[in-house]
Amino acid sequence: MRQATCSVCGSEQPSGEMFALEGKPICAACAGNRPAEARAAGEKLQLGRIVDTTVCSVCHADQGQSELPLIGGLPVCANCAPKLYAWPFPLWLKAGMAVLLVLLGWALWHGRDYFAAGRHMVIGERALDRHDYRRASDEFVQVLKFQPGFQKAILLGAKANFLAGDPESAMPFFNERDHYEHDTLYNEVNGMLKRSVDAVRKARRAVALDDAGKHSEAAQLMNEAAQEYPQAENLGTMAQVFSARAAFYSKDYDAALKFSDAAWHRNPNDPNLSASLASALACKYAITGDPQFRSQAEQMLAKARELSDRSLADHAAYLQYSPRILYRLESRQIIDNAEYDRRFGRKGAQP
Amino acid sequence: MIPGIVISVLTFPGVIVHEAANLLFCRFAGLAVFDVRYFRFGNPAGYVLHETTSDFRKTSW
Repeated sequence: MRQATCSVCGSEQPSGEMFALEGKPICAACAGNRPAEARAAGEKLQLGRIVDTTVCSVCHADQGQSELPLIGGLPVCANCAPKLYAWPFPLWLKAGMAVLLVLLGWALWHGRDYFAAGRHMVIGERALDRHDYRRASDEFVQVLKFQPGFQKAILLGAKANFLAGDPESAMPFFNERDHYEHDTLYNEVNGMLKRSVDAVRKARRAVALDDAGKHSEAAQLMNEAAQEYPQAENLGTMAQVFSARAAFYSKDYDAALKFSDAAWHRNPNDPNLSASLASALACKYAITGDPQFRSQAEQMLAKARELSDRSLADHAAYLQYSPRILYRLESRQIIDNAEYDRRFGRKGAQP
Repeated sequence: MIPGIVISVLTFPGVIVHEAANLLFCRFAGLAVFDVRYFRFGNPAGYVLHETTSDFRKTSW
């Protein structure tokens, strides 16, 4: 422990208990009123405690005249130094943190359904963005298992199916909830619903017109339906088929061939579309006599036969329309179903 | 005007966590700690008295 002499009263005291006033040692008694006096006089005072580097500032152990190393400007003995670098956390704090960790674990376990729903939601939205509508729809179905009635999942699931051209699969999503908030997504999907309903309604009217023999009107209406809901592949195909039929009855066999070919290219594995194309090619052969049209018609008819073997209904239809097409190729006469039935007394299926 | 004591009562868990985190990072940075007060009704509401450093990384911690 070092001693110092007070510059005011001259007393000798341990330096660690004294202050430095303007760089000179002063005892606590003499320094007592100095701060107040300086404030009253408006003076700035340089007053600080003297650090005795021979006394540990933590345990106050006296090292005699040996100076201790400084940590943070304070003398610290070898016993106390490690404690400063490993200040312990109190027990109540550790217990509190443990309780929080347990709460966290329980919250994560309790919320696992939400995490699962969130994961499916993210995957579904990404699938929707990259136009994988089937995958998107499946993911939103999973979301609704964990979070029934979740509006965003319902609307996005319906949207995915509308964009896939499958409005029938979109409709069950709307059963999940009675009331909807009219936000941007709701308005978008509601618009899709209305367009799909309008398109289907027009398509049904077109079928009725076609059955009634009004082929041109039917074709026009079916094309409108396809334009209103372009995502519906079947409507687009039906538009081509109806257009081909209207052209046939208008005796525009070039147009009939063009539309039949377009319809077949949309679904080359459909036996009825193959047969329609064969029928249009047979018309062209009947008109022009070009053997290439006959060859192509026979190839398409063979393809229709091969494809129709996959189902009884398709095969039955093939047995109905194939004789008419063959008759057209052999006779180079273009007659419709009604005329064929009248001549040969049998119902012809209409590809 | 909300009384300071009300603010202190409402925010004391955050003060405790703050000072605990302060202490933890002093350990990571290898800085000596002289005193820790996790909470009190006063200004500051809590503190960690530690040595200073001129090391940029330790200051960042």
